[in-house]
Amino acid sequence: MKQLEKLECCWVKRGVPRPKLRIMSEEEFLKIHNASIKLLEDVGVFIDNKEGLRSLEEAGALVDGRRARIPRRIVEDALERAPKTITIYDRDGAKYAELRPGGETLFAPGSAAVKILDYNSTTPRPPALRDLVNIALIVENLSSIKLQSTAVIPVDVPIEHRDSIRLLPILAFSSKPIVTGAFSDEGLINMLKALSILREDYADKPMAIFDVCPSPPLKWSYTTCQNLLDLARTAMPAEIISMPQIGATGPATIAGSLIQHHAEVLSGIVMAETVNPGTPVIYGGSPSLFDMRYGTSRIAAPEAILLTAAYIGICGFLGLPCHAYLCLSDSKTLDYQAGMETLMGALIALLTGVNVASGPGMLEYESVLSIEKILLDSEVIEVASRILRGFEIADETIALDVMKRVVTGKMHYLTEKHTLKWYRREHYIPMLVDTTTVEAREPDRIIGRAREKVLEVLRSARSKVLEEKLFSALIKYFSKLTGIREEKLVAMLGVK
Amino acid sequence: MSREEIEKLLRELRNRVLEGDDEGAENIVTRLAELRVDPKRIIEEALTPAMNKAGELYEVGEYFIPELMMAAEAFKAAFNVVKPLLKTDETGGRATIIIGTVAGDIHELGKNLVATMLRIAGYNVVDLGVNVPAEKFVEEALKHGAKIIGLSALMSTTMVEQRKVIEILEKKGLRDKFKVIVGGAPVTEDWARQIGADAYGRDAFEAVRKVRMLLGEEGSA
Repeated sequence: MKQLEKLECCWVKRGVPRPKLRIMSEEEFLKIHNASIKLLEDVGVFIDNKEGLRSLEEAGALVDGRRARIPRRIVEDALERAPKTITIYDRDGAKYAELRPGGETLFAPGSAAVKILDYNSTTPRPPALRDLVNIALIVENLSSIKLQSTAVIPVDVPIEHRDSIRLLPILAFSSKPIVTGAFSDEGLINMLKALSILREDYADKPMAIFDVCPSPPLKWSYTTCQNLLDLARTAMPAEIISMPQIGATGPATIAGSLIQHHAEVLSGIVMAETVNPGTPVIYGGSPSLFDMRYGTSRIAAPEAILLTAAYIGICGFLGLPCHAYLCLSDSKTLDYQAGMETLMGALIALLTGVNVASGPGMLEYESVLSIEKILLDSEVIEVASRILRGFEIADETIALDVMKRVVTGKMHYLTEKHTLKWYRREHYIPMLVDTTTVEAREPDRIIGRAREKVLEVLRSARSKVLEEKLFSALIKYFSKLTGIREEKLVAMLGVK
Repeated sequence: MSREEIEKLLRELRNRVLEGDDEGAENIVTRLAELRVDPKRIIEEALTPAMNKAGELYEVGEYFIPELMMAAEAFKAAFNVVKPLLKTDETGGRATIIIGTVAGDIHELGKNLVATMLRIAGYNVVDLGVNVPAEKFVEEALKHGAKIIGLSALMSTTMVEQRKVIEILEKKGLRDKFKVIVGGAPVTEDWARQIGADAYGRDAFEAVRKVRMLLGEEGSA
């Protein structure tokens, strides 16, 4: 609970009114936390993985068949061992960011979309490896999106290697750290190998965060559990992403689903910290509202966002770095709904101060990615960030003397030195939002502008190209892994 | 027992199913069976109309998925009492469909939704549960004389199991005997085509439409 006070003081700066959001009191947090622990003690988690069960048994959990009931003491021990700050590095080994409660919010595109929506198309298509190159270049060139992600699943690669191959285009063209994840037990090992080709100290100075997603309610599949254990052994950052569908795989109430969510993440933290004390774990989530009419999983529903804001609050109390799926939409096109839902999430991400926010670019229940939407969402983040930045109250910003002069003189501020100095500091000048006078009333003008910007970035993209030797080594590795000839692999990336 | 009383019981059964009261439905249907009411009549006058009504209420936005699923469970409870009483040539439903989540995958919500919607549409659904080995799908389909095999996969890795089932069918020379429909979050139309599945259902509702199409019943409902 000591973290709480610390949090308060670093969030609030005197004389700078700025919004922030914490939706749970300490008393409310304890009510949820204790209920989750009771759930772990009384019901436990189902784990379809012998090693996972063994690790919990060693820690002192009561294992019966494939069910492990976890006593409070073990949960508390694990929380004690979990690092409170996680430092991540860029591809080339330079320190990039610190993940800790009250710290900065780093946005990353949503992950593992099965389709991609092209500009002006209404039918999403299967993604190819080349698309990941474009996504990597776009993200590398956007200052508001600080992390890369393995955002789509390329179908021009054999299915067994569609997880690991996604690292190749990102590592080749961008130095930003990557949010990623494996689809099988071997997949993770392959991905770690790829990272080790770049840097021997890939685990000491991690350039990637791996998502592991338990299956609600309170289950761990063999693969997910194995991924978590292997990550813990190498001490790579694991992002534990619980994903209750409120009303279907989680209780219909937000409190109930939150308790289940929390219990699932705690069970993952216990496993990771038992296998290797001090393993960096990020408390994550992708809760959704199960739509009772159509059976869809609405990640951008207000109820899901409320649950997310609540567990981000829990992380504040526990002092753990945290992650959320925010700044994305369930809409099928770039329309009113897409904008509304994305901004709602982006604001909540920034207001709650979540460390990693996955979402930009994503549509349709986290299954379709639009490159134009990455640009549009970058604008959304800039707008939300502007609100978050607040404003300064100081003699100079109060500007009484300037007002006195103008009000008794020329009656406008445009030619004041004060204006010239302050407007750039205080105003965000939009990149895409239409601020013109009425010239043309075409619908969705903003999307056309996003498209132009995409083309412009891709034409003149600054890419942080990997040095030749390492690139060749990576190509060699992935060629051997996938059975795709080296020259063909290079051609698939679109490299001349 | 008078005719009126039996009719009253049938009406009551219909309401119990519609309200998703599985215990109540089971009690009434047991009572009707004791009274030696023709099981076919129980199905035609109470169970099927109840499911049709549930479907209608959903269509007009009065029922949502929870009410539908509870009605389907009450239907199942009542049907299980009636089933042993039916003659072998009366399945009480239409074609039989085998459904399950593939090996290595323990996700069942989507699969359950599809099973429910198929039951509402009047099909005889055999649900094999989750983590079902590929061979088992084929064995059970043969055993039940199924027309369709439905394969659910929620993970990018377990999708390959869908292909495995089709490969087994081909190897055993059974491919023409069954239609295969696939679904699940990472599954796409292209994947279905790639592995040679007969259909892909984007969601539970589309799955029912595709099943109708596969059985040549399009437009019959």
